[in-house]
Amino acid sequence: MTEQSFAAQKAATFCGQLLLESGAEIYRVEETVTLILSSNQLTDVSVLAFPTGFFYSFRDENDAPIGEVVRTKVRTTDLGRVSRVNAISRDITTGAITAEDALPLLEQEKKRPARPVYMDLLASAISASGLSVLFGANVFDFLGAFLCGVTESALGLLFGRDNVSKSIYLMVSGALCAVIASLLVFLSPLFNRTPIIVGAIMPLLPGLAITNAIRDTVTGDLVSGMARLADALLQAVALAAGVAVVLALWH
Amino acid sequence: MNIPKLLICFLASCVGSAGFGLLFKVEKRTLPPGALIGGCSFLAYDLLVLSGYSPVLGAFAGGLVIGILSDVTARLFRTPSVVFATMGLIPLVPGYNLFQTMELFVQGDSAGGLAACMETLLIAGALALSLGFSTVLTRLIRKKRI
Repeated sequence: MTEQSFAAQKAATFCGQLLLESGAEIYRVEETVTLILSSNQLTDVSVLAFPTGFFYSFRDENDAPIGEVVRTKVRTTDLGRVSRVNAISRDITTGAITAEDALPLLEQEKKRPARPVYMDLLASAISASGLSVLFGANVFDFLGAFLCGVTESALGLLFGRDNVSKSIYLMVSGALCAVIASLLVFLSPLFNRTPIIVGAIMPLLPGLAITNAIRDTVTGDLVSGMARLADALLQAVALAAGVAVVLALWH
Repeated sequence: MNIPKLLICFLASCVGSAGFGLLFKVEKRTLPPGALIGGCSFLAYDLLVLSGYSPVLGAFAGGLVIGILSDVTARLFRTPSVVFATMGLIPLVPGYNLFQTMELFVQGDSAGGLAACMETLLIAGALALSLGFSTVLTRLIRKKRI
């Protein structure tokens, strides 16, 4: 393989991995890898991506078949990263930068420092409290949902990015939000339980997962679509179970 | 129709969408359009529900609004449409119905709980379908890669 093909292969793997780990759709991963490879004069490119990894094969200048398997272990949602990697891959495809020049940029994107913790807490609090207004929250419920949002995000940082604990995390944080809401209602009649709990669980519901599942299914990635749908349902059930346990105990 | 209440709901869903976008670390330049899409989708849903149509139809209309607006914005901002769709979707996620389902089951009202559960699934299905529908539409007319 020439230097250029080698750089293209590295860039394709890198881009695909970053996209898949950050919550991009399957077709975006497949399309990105295909376009990066074929825009660098590599032929017969086939890519197969799943939520847990992807593999691809192509032929180099000497018609020798080459393949690579990439297993991804982390599955987070970082839509900013999806946009940035997409921009880099577009530049490689259009020839604005070479694959070799893109590698340091991708490395930089991978090592991008995490933002301060208070931003995470604030984001989920804003989301929860803003949405609670849609379900008839008064000023006190708004503050209650804000508190729940901070709590669930703090709990998320505690649980970390491990996939295994995702449904446990959802269950625990659903239960915790229900406890906070019930306590507030118990302490003062100014609070209403429904808007606080609904606002608090809205950011935790697997909206993105279901959207991606359907997008994958309609674009023909049946296996990934069904896998993501099952994942989404499991998350929703875990969250509902957490809240329901507290409601039943409190009843 | 209660205009001030609609306006408050519009603003609240904009704020909720923006917070959700922040949570998922979207780029700063994509935050305002994403928040507006969230507001618009809830407005479409709310207008239909207030005019007496079922929430399922409202969710379908809201989903179409999200799908079309997020694809248009994706082209303008040269950013994947999933960024905008995620932010726009959050006010329509049937969290209230899910909560109602659990509450009814906990109170021992299984029939009511099943009805609420059915409605939750229908709304989620309508949302997913309308998003899929608009994805197919834009893929049909798509010429340039974003």
